Amino acid sequence: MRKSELFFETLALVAFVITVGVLALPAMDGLIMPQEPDEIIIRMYVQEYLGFDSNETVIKKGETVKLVLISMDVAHGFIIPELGINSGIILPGEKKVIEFTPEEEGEYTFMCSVKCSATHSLMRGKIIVEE
Amino acid sequence: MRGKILITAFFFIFIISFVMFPIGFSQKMVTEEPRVIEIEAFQFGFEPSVIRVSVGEEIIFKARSTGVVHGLWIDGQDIDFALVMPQTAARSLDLPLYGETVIALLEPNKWVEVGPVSFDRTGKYKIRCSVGCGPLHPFMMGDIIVESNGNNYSFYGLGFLGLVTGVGTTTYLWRRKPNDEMLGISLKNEIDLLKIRWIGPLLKTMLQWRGIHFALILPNLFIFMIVLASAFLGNPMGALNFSIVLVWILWFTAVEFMILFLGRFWCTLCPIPAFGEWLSRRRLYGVHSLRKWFSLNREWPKPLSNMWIAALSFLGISLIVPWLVTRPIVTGLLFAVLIVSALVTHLIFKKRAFCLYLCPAGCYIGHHSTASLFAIRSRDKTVCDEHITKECIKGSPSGYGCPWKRYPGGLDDNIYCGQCFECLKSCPVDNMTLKLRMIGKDISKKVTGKADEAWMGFIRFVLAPTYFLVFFGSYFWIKDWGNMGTKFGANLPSIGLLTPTASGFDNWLLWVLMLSTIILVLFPAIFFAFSWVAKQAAGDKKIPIKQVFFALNHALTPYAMFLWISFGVVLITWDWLYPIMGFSNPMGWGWNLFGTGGIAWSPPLVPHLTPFIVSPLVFLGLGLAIHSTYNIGMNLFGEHQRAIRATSVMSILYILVALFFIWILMG
Repeated sequence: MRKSELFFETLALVAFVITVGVLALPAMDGLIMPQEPDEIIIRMYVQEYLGFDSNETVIKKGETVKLVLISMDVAHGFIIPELGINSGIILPGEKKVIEFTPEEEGEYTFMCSVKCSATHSLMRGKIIVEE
Repeated sequence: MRGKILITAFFFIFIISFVMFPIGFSQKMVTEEPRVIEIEAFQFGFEPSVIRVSVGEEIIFKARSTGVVHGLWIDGQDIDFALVMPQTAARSLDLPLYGETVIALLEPNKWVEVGPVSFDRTGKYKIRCSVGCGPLHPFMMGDIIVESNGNNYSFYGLGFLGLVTGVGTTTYLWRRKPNDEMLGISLKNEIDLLKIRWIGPLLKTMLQWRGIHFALILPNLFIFMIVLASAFLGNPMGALNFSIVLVWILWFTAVEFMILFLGRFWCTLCPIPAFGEWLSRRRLYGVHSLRKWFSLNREWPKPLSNMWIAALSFLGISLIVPWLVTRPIVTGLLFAVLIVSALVTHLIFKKRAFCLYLCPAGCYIGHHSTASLFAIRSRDKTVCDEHITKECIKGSPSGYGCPWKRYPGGLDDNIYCGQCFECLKSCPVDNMTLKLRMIGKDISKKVTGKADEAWMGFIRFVLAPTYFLVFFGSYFWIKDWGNMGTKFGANLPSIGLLTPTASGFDNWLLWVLMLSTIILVLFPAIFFAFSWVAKQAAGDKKIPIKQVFFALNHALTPYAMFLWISFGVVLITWDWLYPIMGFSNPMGWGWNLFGTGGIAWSPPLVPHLTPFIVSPLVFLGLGLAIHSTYNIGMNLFGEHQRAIRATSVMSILYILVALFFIWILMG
């Protein structure tokens, strides 16, 4: 192999490896959409896929949190009946932010309020408020 | 002279009909009370799926959803609403809504009232779902057919134009002097692209650079990697997933246009066989100087050296196409299968065996490239034939011997030329070049054909209207058959797990049986009958009917190419926003890299003009099919009068197909 040929082959190999490195894109979620300390990102899928993602979070009593709700596939809704929180309809691709301050400890169930699939009624999760 | 008068008359009629028919014959209906039409939306369609109204009639649409949230968009009207099913939890809880609410329809069985609206031109308008509702959401449509006194004049007008095009082309071919010209452009005309001033030498330097192939594949590989990552891990909703929107909207449309202007240029860019090729060559960039390949270098088995596997796998893919183009995971699996089989094929067999005999996309791109404007050819065939060393076959230090197992110097067909440009590099006498020529040049030389290529032609030809009906039609039950779904929301369970419902699977089997019978048996039988009649009409007794059948089949190629281009045009004008959104949000996880994410609905561009943009393309295909038939007829029967009699028989079939298309678009 001639020297120049070796040089071009190496160059091509490096370019190739960098290109294949794009496969790591899914791992960059935390970089592209970082979750701030006072934020909880909840992505909403139909229950057959992931349902609420994530569907369990722990927060501190008396500290204000922002619930970032994103509908990922079809229209969903988000309610916490015990806290009186209702997001209304969140259309697919839409993002809604709900700010609230939990006053009491306990476990609060949240659920989807808009019929989204055959297993809509199973789409739920919980927020645990700790001391 | 006579030809010119005919052409002028033809264009005159064309323009008159285009303008006059939709408007001229329309009579507005005046009613006192607006008519109320109830529409129910469900996954994935509207009931009623076809609504007939009159021009000028005032209509109030009352719509509701019977399942998840849908939208209501009516083409040509300023209407975009969300349809919400009575909410379960929120209604019983009676809670205040947080923040700004888009729609607040909490009463049970609430109907959304839209209107009154009216349409002032006859024709076909679409009702579309404007809120993401599931995998097939982009194809959830209904039809409003606007008539005047019970007549859809736009449909008549376009249908009449189809008839005029077909009969006009045949008459023109009949009346003109027998030569190989079409509207003054000879099939002999060719442009040697490498001899154009300024551009030619530049192009030549580029194509003779060894790195060009690698440099062209690399950006595609980059995007392909995003596609793979997104297909397996991204959002399962097709319209929000990069793999789906890029491949099945952008790529699909781009390839149809590429076939017309650049032949098999996609095969130059394709990253799928690249891994195998690089590995077997032991080089990414240069020509390897070793004798050994990293491959067993076996010969591909003779009985399989044809298009059958590729053509049938293309049909197989088309049978699950509503799944393929709406479920990222299915697309991902398809690509995984293609990459692995390309790799394995390269490691076992010589050269581009995968691309030639197995690749389902390669076979249709190749088949249609026969009608392309672009070709790689030798400048002078005799130079090639007399040149004994044949570097284009054996290879030289500057280029590999043709990886597509062709003799580049003798090429007279694009079908198996993958445009890797190796022959331009290896040719020591500078005899290979790129040529621009008329559509149908290769076809005009055909005297016979092969069964595998003929059936590939049938598969592609019949699938074009099928795809139109499935994706752009209002008949939700066809969508359900292909989607293995049912009318009542049983479509969503299958987005994550690939498990269709039992009744959906039954319907799908029916669809498979129906579609493959039409494509593999029924349409070929009709075509056979037409070619038999054409042979009789030509008064021929010598040529076997089988040869006539295979030879005439080539005329389907330019027609099918333009039908698919029109499919691509509709696809890109209706779903143009999804790919733009996909680049900002490749995983469908709500990212917004370039500020175009966060869109879930792609309003169609100029939807009311779609039939008028698409039908000229259909007519162009029709004209070219008739012209090609005439040229093939001349080759077969050798005489103008006999060729034109055969052509008129075949043109009946082609005109009927054009009318069917106009019906899909307008009627």
